[in-house]
Amino acid sequence: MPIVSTRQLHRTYLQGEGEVHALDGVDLDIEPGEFVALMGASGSGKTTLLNLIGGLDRPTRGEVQVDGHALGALSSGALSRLRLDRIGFVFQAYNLIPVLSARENAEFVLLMRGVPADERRRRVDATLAAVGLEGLGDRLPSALSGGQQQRVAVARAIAGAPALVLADEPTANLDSRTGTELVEMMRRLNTEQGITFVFATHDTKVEERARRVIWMEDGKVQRDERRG
Amino acid sequence: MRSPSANPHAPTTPAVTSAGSAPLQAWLTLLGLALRNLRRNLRRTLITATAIGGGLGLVLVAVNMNEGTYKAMMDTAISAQAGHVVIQAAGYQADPDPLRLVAGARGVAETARAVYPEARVVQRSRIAGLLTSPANAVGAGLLAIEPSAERAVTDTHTKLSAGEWLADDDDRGVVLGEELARRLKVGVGDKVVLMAQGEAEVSSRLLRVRGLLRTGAVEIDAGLAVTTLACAQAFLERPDTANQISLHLPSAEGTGPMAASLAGSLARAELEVLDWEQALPEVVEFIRADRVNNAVTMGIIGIIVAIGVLNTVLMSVMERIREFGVMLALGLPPRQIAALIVLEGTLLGAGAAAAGLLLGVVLSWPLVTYGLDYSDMLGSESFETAGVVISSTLFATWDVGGMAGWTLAAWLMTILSTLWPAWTAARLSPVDAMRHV
Repeated sequence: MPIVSTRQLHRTYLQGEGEVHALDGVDLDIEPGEFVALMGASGSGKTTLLNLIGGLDRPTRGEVQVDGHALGALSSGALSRLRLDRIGFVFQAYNLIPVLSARENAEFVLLMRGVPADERRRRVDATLAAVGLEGLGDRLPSALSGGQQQRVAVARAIAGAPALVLADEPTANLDSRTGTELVEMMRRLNTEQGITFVFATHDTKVEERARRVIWMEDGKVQRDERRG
Repeated sequence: MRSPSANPHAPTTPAVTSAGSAPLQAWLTLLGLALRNLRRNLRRTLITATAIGGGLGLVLVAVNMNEGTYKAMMDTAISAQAGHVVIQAAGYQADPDPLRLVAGARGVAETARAVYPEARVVQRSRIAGLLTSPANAVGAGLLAIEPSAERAVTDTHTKLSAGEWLADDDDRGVVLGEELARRLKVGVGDKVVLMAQGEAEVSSRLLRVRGLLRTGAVEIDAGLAVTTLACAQAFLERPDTANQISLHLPSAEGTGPMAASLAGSLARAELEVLDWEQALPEVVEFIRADRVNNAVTMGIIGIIVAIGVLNTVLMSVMERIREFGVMLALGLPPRQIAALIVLEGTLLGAGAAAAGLLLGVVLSWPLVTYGLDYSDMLGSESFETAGVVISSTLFATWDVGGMAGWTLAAWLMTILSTLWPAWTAARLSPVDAMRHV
């Protein structure tokens, strides 16, 4: 069963007196364990699609299913719970909670879920090790480089063992080398842990490492390319 | 396509179709986060807490000072004007006619002493009349007392500025307020004539000035004359009578039931027995009205401070809109975002209220212990308010209930100030919030 499924997904925004069709009938299935890059120019609908898959926004028309749940049927609270339990997010601007240390940021979702302390410690230790942040757990985000902050964001996204990680331009604020390292790391997590990643990106480094690239234009899927 | 491998971190999470209730751990996490958020902009937190705590501290000082002033007024009014329990002729409270007298006053006083041995019992009469001297005639209120018994319940004798105090059997002596004597142009040893309504017609009696009083309150010093109960009885030709028999007790508490009990013991329908609140309605009403007035004033100050707090909290929310958007995206329900902000207000309010309470105690302590001397400002050692002469040195009194109430109110006010910002944050759309710059 697909982890993500969209059917005739439309999202229209009002702009002035006119309408902007950010998404215009997107049909898409993403299987568990995929490493997918949504590519396209700015305004092509990548981020809008990611927001709808993540339940951060509601479609104007159409349907999204994530992990077997039709998002349109979920209440706001249930949608929050789905995000907390099943979806990890990585944002372009890292968006860490500034008053929490790297470790606490990674632990945040687990704390909010009520995961017991021992289990939490085990998961966070493993996650910080997986993203190469051993020894940096006590640092506040302000004491970390951009690359390290984005690693913390990845750790936060995967620490709760989500069914799906949605990453919106995760390498956009990083230099080329750091960006490459980060993509490699997420690719490794995908391979080793089977976590499904869906990226919205312009970055060719991501595209090169993706096993599936979906090209978008004017809110539609132009090309869906699966790689070996 | 590669087939997906098993995820070693198999989720052990509850069903997602129900919002469920957040675990205690989530609330503790929010509490910790709220504390850190307050520390994040420590200067702003301290300034806000100082505004709340400083305002509260000053309100508590005012509460204690007001309560001290009320206590001084009540104590003075009770001792000088009435008593904790007062026995008088029925109807005297409504119409204080000097001729409404308690007959057999000594016997009534003895009964009162027998029922309440701890009470100091004095008899008093009041005569409103005209005092005349060869130089002038001035309207005055004569208070007729038992001088030796009165010493135990009032300090009027300590206000003597010239001459000597009255003797119990001195039925011609009078002590005048300094200003009254000045207007009459008389001094110690001079004669004055009292003219007032007697039993059937206007009567007069020659009195000799034994001493002069200076209370410090101009209105009192210009109108007060003190004579003996013996003098009043002789003037009215009504021996063993008094307008009031007043009982002075160690405490003003519980005097209502005592008055009722004493009325039962006396069993005389022609008498009324009142507690001090019934006997001094003007003073009680003044204090009640002043309390309400002060509460309204302090409440307005509280609202002004609350608006300031609201502004600060709202500002701190607007600065963190993006952060709230991220939290919403991570799966925090809107109610927990709102709870985070309310928790910040709760912690800030608790800290500020505790600091304000401490400040109030520290600032009130010298006022309770040493008082605040207004004599230079007022130009006298005492002053009159609501017909009661009290010392110009005012002492604060610990009003524990009032302090607790205002401290709690300051805390609640801070929490209430966060509700609107919390509601604003809870209504954010995660997508819009994360786009916020």
